[in-house]
Amino acid sequence: MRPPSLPLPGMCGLETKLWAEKKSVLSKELATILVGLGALKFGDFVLSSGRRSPYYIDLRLLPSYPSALERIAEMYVEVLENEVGLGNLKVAGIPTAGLPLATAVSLRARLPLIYVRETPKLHGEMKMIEGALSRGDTVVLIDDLVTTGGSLLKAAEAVRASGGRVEHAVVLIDREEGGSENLARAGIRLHAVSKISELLSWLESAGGLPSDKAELVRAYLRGVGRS
Amino acid sequence: MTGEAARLASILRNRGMIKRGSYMLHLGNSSEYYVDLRALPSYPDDFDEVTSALARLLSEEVGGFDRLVGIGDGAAPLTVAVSLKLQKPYAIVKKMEAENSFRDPLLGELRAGERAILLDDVASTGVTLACAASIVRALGARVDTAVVLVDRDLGARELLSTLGIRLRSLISLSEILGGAQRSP
Repeated sequence: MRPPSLPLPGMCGLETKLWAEKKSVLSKELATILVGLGALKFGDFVLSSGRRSPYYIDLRLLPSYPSALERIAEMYVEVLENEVGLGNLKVAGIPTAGLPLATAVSLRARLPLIYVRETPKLHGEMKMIEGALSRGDTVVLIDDLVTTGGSLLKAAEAVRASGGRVEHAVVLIDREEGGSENLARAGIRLHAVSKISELLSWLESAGGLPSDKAELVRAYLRGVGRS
Repeated sequence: MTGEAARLASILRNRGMIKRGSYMLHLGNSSEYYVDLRALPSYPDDFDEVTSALARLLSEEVGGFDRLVGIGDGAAPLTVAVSLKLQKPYAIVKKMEAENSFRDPLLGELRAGERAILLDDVASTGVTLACAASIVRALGARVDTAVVLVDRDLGARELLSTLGIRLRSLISLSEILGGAQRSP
């Protein structure tokens, strides 16, 4: 007689737990990479939305370090594998900063790449999407950061208008200013390699950030959450 | 035409990237052919093959360099792919278009005195490449070489040479079209 089969790991939550642990390791590694790139800045900044923020994520040096870009692309792919699934997907880059990341992800996972134009093409053919997109294609949006989700929502609209199905978006860092909720209302699940609150905790525990500065950012995030 | 060029020509033709018809180009020029390589990254195997050929050209035929500079979003996928293959830094310079703001013309950084190679998908009149070269030079980098996938032979080579820039291409439009005439 065959012994009863063991429950699948997913059924007892083991898989989920392993991924949560792995993701927290990814967060820690990302924090280290970001510190190396000088990407986490604390002070008084005005975001492109006009909002004032006590911190700023500046990925300007990432293109100068291909090995860091490659590692970050692997992190996106791990999130895709574990939270979305890689089968039959196209990745869409959001210009300007999201497009290089989406390219690196598409190369790493060997997935087709499309991208959203910032403005419709005026010469040649008028369109908002570049690349091969057919009606019913499943498209995952890729960007570097999410704040309130405005540019991801705009991109989702453009992809949907061209017939693509958009249910997921993946970013490197969630700034936790309502993006996840705003996207959810449009039927899009947000996935992030890490969140600013996690990165803060790692930095603080590693002695890389005085706790008064970390507290300033936490107060800001609480304030944003209430508004 | 080399075997590699013939192979590239067949990829671009098979993917419908050389379109016939009447198209408006930049600066009000019109052309019988339109070359649109923006869908290339949607075909991972073809994209890999083409960017490997670009990486070969860059590692074997242009001498040592410090950074790849892609022109506009259209060249970003090519530039990133080659940057990862050669493990070379890159930057993207915004295209000179009325709708772009010039608050920040560059994605990434340029360092003073470094040798930057310009990279784009297609060269036509060379005006776009020449504008990009002047931005990159104004930001302190040296530019003496531009590399494109397809040269349409519409004067880019000549214009760029007056600026001290040598244009290299994987293939010319006439080679692609010549191949089309030979195949059934």
